[in-house]
Amino acid sequence: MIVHIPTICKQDGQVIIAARFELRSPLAYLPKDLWYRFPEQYEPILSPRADCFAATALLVAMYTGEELTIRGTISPKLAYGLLEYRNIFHTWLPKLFQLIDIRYENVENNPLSRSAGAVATAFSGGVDSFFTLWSHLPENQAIPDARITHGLFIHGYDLRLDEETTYQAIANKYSMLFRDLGLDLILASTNAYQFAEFRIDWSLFFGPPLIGAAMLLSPYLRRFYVPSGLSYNELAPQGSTALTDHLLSTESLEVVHHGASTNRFDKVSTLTSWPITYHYLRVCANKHQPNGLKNCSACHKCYRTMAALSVLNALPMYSTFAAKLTLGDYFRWGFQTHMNLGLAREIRNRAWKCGKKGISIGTWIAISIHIAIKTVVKIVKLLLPGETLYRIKRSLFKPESNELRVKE
Amino acid sequence: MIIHQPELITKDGHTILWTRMELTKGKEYFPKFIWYRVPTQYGNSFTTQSDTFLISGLLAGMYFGENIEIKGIVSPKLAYHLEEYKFLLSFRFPNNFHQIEIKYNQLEPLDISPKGVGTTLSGGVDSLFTLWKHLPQNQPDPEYQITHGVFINGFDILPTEDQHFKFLYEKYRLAAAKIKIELIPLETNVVSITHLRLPLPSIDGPTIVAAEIALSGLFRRFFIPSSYDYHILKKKNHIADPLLDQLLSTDTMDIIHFGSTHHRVEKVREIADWEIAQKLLWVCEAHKFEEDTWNCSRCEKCLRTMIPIYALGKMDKFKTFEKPFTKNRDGLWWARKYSPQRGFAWEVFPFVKKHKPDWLPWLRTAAALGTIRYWLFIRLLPEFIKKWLHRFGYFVERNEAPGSYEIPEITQLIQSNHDHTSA
Repeated sequence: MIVHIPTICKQDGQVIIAARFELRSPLAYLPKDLWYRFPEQYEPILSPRADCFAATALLVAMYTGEELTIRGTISPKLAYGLLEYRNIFHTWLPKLFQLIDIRYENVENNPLSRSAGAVATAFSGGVDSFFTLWSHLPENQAIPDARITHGLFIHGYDLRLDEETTYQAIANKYSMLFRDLGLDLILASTNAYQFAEFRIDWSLFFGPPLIGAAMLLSPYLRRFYVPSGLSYNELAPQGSTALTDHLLSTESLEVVHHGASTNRFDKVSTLTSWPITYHYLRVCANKHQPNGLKNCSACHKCYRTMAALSVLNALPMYSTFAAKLTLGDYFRWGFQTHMNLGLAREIRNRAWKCGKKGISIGTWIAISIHIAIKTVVKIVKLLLPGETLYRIKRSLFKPESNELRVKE
Repeated sequence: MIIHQPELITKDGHTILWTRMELTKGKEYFPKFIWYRVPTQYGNSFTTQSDTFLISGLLAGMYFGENIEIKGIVSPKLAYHLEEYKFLLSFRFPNNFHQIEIKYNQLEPLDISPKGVGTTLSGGVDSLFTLWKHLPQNQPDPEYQITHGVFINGFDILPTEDQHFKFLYEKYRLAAAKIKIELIPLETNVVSITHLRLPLPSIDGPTIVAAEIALSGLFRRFFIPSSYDYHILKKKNHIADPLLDQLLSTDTMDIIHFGSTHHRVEKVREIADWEIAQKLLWVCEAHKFEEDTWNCSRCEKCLRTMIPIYALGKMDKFKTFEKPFTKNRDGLWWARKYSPQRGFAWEVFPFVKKHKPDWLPWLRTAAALGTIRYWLFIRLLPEFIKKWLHRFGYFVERNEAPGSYEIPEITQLIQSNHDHTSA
């Protein structure tokens, strides 16, 4: 697989930077280019280097088993880190990610100094990103160098690219929130999701494109926080972990995985004492029925957050969720194919300890149903060949990558 | 606990970087001064930034449960990541390390741009593998090619075994010079901080990193050779691993834990044809030094290392083993020191199966006998019998004396300097 030299163009007040991914054996529906889009004002600070495409390309190349050639300029530190990054992903999942060779055509240091740059965090409005933001506000972070100055809100992750209106509405509200905090919110979009759609679990893939977006701004940023989704006692193969994220640092941008030392329940507990979150917390995983900042209150992420908030007696304060969880919700929670079992068990135990037996039993029911469902899904996945599974998923869900590239 | 401002002394051809660590409550055997010493030509590599002493002092602070006040200047990057590091230590090793607070007086990065790229060089499989992988023929990027090795006196080798240190240093220095690597001899008593309280393997990671950060004036990047691969690290926590070590990087020095992607047997295979490894490999735990051989060939580590070498058919090339394997039956010696926990059997067997399958039955027999020996004579043996056997030289550690890692003349020198400055 060849990653061509990135190109920059302008369109409708936006600047787009893209790199062509040329596969020896093209895959159906895989986009030709990986692109990022920023408002035009960021054009002067965008990096034309290949750094931001390299890590995402690596995962795609490892998936296809093709040798990776990177044509553009890449940082020596990243070039070195990617080798270890590749080895770790292969050690974790040798069948999904094959050990491939990486060839760099131009390894060159970024001459820009990072001493005076900005410090940004990835921000989606969820528990992890609000916690990372809170932890790096001047009142909570004693080290001035580590304080956040910017947020990076990316369209194409938890919101579909065709949901432009919803994205704009949310982006406007979060931009105002950041302004109130004395910070800036940078808006960006990417089609990275389409490279993984139905093929690679998004949770294994989302890290590199996210960090890639920050790398594009690396002439301007010196540190980028990636809010952690898992705590240290539930570490598992993921697209963003404390073990792997820092390997994507360059000479000019330090990537820091933040928040793994606090479990999600404690993060929620911390956020309940920060009133700003009452009207802005957005955790929803339902990409198909977005409703601005309002959470659907019916997906696995909504359920787990609502359950945690209920244990903390804080759910009524949060205007972005339904007022309460019903017994039916716990059953529906169990039937969701995604559930963070560690967090669910934590909620069950904490609820029991503080005498909220209803929540505890409800969560226990959800866990039991989920384990049964998960086992069935695992068996089905084992029985079906990968390509058949891919076709089934495409027909069941509304795909984002609709352009057919090769004849099937 | 107070960690004072580091100071430098230059005397008799050596430069010493030292500080005082003051515990709130005096503790028996806690060293009066912590120091590092290098020959004067490397004295410029020392800086009086407090990073190195903060890392080593952190172990003491967390072990004793004492908050730390650090008087000197600390790298902001290190200070930030230490929060995560502290959490991980207490999370993974709750019996050894407690959560504490650190109070900084001044956070500032070093105002230098060091150029060196280093690694610790003990002569073992891990360090030789790390060096090998970062020589120009294997690492095309000059930014990652190793320029210096650091050979430490005060970890595997005790200060009282100075003649062993000098013996090996001289051999390593000459070999390193041939491949344009400069070898720096570094002496330290930093292990004294937790000596007799925590075993060396439970503090080796941060202590080695601290020793390297003492040389911040020279290094912009430092490789810490990995002892365990990701498969082992997944099952068991170790204090030196890729997740922990990188958190000890400073604004001017990257710490890279290297080699976890390879099994130990694979590392041996990689360096098996390298002349320097063949002539210099030192893995022995018994410390029996002869003029030409310095691996006893009968301790657990020697045996474990000889197995892949013999399986590859390269035993005759490795000159530093006193009693190398010459026939398959020699593999039975493994039973004498085999430890099911350390044996690395699960990586050794597939390796031998691939390279020398006819040897496998001998090794399986050795492992079976070794397992029986291990349980009967090591794990299930009552403590009082072990103590009684001390007098015959069994179950004795080389570093059992309280001052094993101290050099009295250096302590006296620092004391007089300190008295003079205080007066």
